[in-house]
Amino acid sequence: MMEAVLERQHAKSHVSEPRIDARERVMGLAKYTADWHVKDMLYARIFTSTVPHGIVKNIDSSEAAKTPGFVDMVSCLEDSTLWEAGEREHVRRVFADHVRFVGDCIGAVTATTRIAAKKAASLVSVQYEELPASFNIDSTLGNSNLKIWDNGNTIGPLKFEYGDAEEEFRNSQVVMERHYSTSRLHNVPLEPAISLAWWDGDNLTVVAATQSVHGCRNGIAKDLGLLPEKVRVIGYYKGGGFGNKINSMNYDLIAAICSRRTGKPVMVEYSREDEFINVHGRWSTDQDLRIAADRDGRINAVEVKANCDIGAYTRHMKRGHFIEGPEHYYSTEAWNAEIYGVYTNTPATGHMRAPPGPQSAFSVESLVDEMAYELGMDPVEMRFKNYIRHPNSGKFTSNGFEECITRGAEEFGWKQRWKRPEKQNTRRGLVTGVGVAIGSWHSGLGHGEAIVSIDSTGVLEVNTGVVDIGTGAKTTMALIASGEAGIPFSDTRVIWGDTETSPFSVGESGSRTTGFTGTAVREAARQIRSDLLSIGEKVHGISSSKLEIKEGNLIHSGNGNVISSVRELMHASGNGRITKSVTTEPALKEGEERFVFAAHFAEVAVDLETGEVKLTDYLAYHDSGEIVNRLTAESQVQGGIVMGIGMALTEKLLISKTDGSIENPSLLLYRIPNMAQIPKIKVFFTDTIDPYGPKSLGEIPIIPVTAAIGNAIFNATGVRLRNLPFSREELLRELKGKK
Amino acid sequence: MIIEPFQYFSPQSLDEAFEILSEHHGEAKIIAGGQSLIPLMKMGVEVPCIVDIKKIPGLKAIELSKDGLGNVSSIKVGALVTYNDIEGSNPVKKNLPLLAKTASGIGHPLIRNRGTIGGSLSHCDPAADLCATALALNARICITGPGLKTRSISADEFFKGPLETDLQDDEILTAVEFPVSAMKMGYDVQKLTLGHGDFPVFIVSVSLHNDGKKFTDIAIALGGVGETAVRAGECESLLNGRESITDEDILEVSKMITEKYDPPSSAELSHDYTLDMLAVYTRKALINAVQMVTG
Amino acid sequence: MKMEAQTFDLKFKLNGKEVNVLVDTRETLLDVIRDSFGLTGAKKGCDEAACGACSVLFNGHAVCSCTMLAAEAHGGSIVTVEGLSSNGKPSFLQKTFMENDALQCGFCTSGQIIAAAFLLDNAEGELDDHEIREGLSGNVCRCGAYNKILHAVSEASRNRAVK
Ligand SMILES: Cc1cc2nc3c(=O)[nH]c(=O)nc-3n(C[C@H](O)[C@H](O)[C@H](O)COP(=O)(O)OP(=O)(O)OC[C@H]3O[C@@H](n4cnc5c(N)ncnc54)[C@H](O)[C@@H]3O)c2cc1C
Ligand code: FES
Ligand code: FES
Repeated sequence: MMEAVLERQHAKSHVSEPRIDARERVMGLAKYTADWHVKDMLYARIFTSTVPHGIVKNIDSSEAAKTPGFVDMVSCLEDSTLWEAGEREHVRRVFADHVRFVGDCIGAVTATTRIAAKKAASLVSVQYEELPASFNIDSTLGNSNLKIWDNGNTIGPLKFEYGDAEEEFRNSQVVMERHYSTSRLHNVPLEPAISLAWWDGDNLTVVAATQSVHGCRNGIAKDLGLLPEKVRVIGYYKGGGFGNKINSMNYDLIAAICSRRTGKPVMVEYSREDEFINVHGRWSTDQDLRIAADRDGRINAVEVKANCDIGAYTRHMKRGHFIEGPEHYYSTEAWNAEIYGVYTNTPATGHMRAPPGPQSAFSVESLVDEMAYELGMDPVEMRFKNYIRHPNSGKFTSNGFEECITRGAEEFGWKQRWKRPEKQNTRRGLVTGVGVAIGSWHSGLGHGEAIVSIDSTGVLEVNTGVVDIGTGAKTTMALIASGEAGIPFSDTRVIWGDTETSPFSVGESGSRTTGFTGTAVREAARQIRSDLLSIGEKVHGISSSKLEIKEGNLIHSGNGNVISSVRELMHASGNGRITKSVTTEPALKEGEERFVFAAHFAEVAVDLETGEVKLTDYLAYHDSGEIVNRLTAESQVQGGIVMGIGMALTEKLLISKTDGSIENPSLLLYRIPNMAQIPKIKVFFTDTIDPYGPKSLGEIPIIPVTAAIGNAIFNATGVRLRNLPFSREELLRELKGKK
Repeated sequence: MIIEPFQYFSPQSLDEAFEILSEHHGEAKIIAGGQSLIPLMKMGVEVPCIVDIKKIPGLKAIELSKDGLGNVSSIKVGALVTYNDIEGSNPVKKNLPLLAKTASGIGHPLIRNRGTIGGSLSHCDPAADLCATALALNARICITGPGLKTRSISADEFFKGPLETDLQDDEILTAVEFPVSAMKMGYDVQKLTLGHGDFPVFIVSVSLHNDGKKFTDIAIALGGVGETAVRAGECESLLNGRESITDEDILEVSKMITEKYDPPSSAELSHDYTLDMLAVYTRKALINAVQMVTG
Repeated sequence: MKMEAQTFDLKFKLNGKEVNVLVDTRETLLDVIRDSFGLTGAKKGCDEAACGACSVLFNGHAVCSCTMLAAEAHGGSIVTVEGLSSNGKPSFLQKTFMENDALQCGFCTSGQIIAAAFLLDNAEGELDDHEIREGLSGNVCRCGAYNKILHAVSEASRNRAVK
């Protein structure tokens, strides 16, 4: 079966189709979770810890219960449900009795209106026994009385090494050591967290704003002790997530718990502030790096030692992989990484678009740039000399890195625009500079399921469990099926987002939808086509090997004549509907590694008087294998870059030094980029063909951005900024210092 | 979400408004654009009674007065005129370009379609864009009280402290009057913000005239450097009456400003930096303004 | 003794139709158009005038409906994104959004389209990129569809200028 998939003739896609659901979205008809209105619905509102670390001793809800509209209160004192997905290394309860940060959820109030729920929740009073707390890495590491978790306050070290780094550092001609840091960030999906749940006997239905309906169902079932088939999760439209709506979330469980207690449908709605505090964001990092190179620009070894502030809980899946990625950018003799995750009494961290990717690329790609300038080399040449040709052992399934770097530099006009830094003698006005950074990221393969069918009228129906949080997954699935089956895109329909009707999908995280579910869709559609050809043979007496299906027609491959439409063919066959239900488990061969690659180029203008940085031009060149839909793929890349621009220039969660709370849980104070700050972003894709089909795309675009911008700032000013977000104040201080 | 209940009134005339205000003395608040009041109420500020003045006729006009020669001598901007109306008004653009420029830079377009000049000045945030520009343009604030008694005071007297003005509980700001000069004018407004469309950390609003021989009416208004927006009087007098203003003069004034005024530090920007920027932005504003009349 | 909930008999024009509903004075216009009229195109992204997802046209002006009391709309005319299309057909502007892929998750989209409609209605000629960037700067898009939104609005503007 896989062979057939592999044999398929790949060709660069020039398909550029608008989203299959664009009409619903632009007309305001798409129903997101908050847009559901079910009869007798109640509203729940959480109440949370006001202390950074402590044990809940007493909860008084007598005042809350007097609020007109109050229905029910539930808290850690009577409900001890675990939220398994909420913390990777330890046990986390939905309602914490041992609270670990200001904002840790203790309970929820249910009421007839939103206003009553909020009012009542604000009146619940909680007594605590307070415990020592830590709000940053240093105080966690330095405090032996601190017990955020009983078995230690750190995770790690994660060690990753190959080659003999010490040897390389001894023998290389140039060695540099630098410190870099990145800040705590938040995903800020525009749709704040929300969940709606109701029970029908012991069957639970949850309308979830999740990135994966099946993951969500399985998580809820497990945590509530139900069989998965008793839980139905619906997730048709979702306002972004970028990793913080993966699988089951605590608010899904809270909606289910409150609904079970009250016997009514319950909607849990987070305010923007709740979203900032109660839904995880990106961890911060403190990184010490060393790099060893020879004068000719050859990088011999890199060493990374890092501590990461992972908050009170972390959802990150792979144990300790808080810094990860750059070991797959370069072919070095040796690599040595030692990474710790450090717990603090601050809000949770977890997945955010390529979870460790941009933090890791920032330090390494800045350092490689520093080395290039130290050696007097063009930074693009430096990358070209060292970019990874082959993994340490084995081989890449495909590698378009070279094209990304060289063609990217050409398209950007790097040779004409890059200048060696000169001493700035002016004190006023704008100076411009350009920077480059590269990156790579995993491109997995795995379990996929799809049901594809064609009905008697020739309409192709693709049924998968994707949710489409904005990635265009539905459109991608439909395009894969339509292309493979030979049915026009306009005659293709999708069914999605409901565990009751759709087969399993991993959901939209880890850039996996196209590689996992897409492979199953392709196979199912191929089977449909093959059935149609057999029917053609039967009906028209022409060998199926001489037939093709194209644009909804049965075609004679010899002369290209249309024999009949698929619709007529289906009619003639007497078959009502052909359905193919397919499961695929593509896997890499021994020694194979599958990656995506990118090179980014940025231009900035820096105001020498204020230190303000404005991004004036941006270009991204990506190898993600075959591009199924150019239009939405380009959007994904631009979107990742916009988020990277925020990370580089404005975004930072401000953590209180006195109680670890978030000081800026508001869109007025946590600054995500707006349109006025975003330049034209040109996007190119390589012609790379990967034998396993389209590669991943959603995460890699954010990875090189911060370093590309930082490197451009250096090129413009001669000042190297090593802390994210870049501070205009620090830049100005350094500029003055240089005079 | 607003939690506490409140009464809502929408009087059709000033008379009716004053009746309601006196009946709910001390409990009532006027709502104009609501772009400050509603956020405050969502944050938990309790207001038992809201008086919406937007149905009262006559508060939305932009009126020109002319002198004997037919030249525009002043412009009266009604309290309910929005930032967007100001930005788009031809007479304002022509006669009070600094006001138009200031209005066009407030927050973002959705705010500008709602926020009003009367609301902004009555709210009296020390760093609000229009407070500084009202000072720079020597605005007079027109106020009506119970019995339709009217009075008018200078912006300078009107601003009393952070979120505090000379308005009494039962008074309504009805219009803001700006004198217009026929002389050649230069102006600029510059502000430090933490992001595009953000509330200013501080703002510098500059206006000046040149009668063909010398510079007059130099106005340098600063917002965000103290309890209210202020005029940098000593710095102004340093330049007033000069035949020419050089870059060195401007540098000196900018330096002087930083010795006299003190913008606050914030979680994101240190005091030193903010102070440095005060000099930089003052210089930028002055240079641009001077260039308009000389260049 | 605390005050009880106060109601207001609200009448206004919603997408061209006169409507009438009793609201709680605390309710914002956004809550009322979503909850009482089921027009859920406008979204609540922040509830603090900081994202623009709740944009609607009030007497022809794009405003944040989350930062307007429902009662303030009395006697006025509201157009939501649902009101821009006619007979189930997307408007030209909505079509340029579709064709240019000026949306990803779609949560900001209604707001972007409303703000763009206001911008186009008030433009004197063809809008340049700077005007569009500034005009839509109150409508954030976390998915980062800005480049495509710019294209879509620019195309719509060109089309109008030709007419
Ligand atoms: C996201 C956001 C960004 C913003 N950015 C900026 C910015 O960059 N710069 C800036 O300057 N402002 C900014 N603002 C504030 C905005 O300008 C407000 O509109 C302004 O402060 C108040 O004007 P309003 O008409 O909305 O008044 P309201 O909110 O209606 O009223 C404000 C206060 O003034 C009183 N009041 C209003 N009108 C009268 C009157 N006629 N007589 C007596 N009292 C009256 C009210 O009782 C209330 O106390 C921003 C607001 C938001 C929400
Ligand atoms: S919800 Fe109104 S601006 Fe964000
Ligand atoms: S499309 Fe998702 S926020 Fe704009």
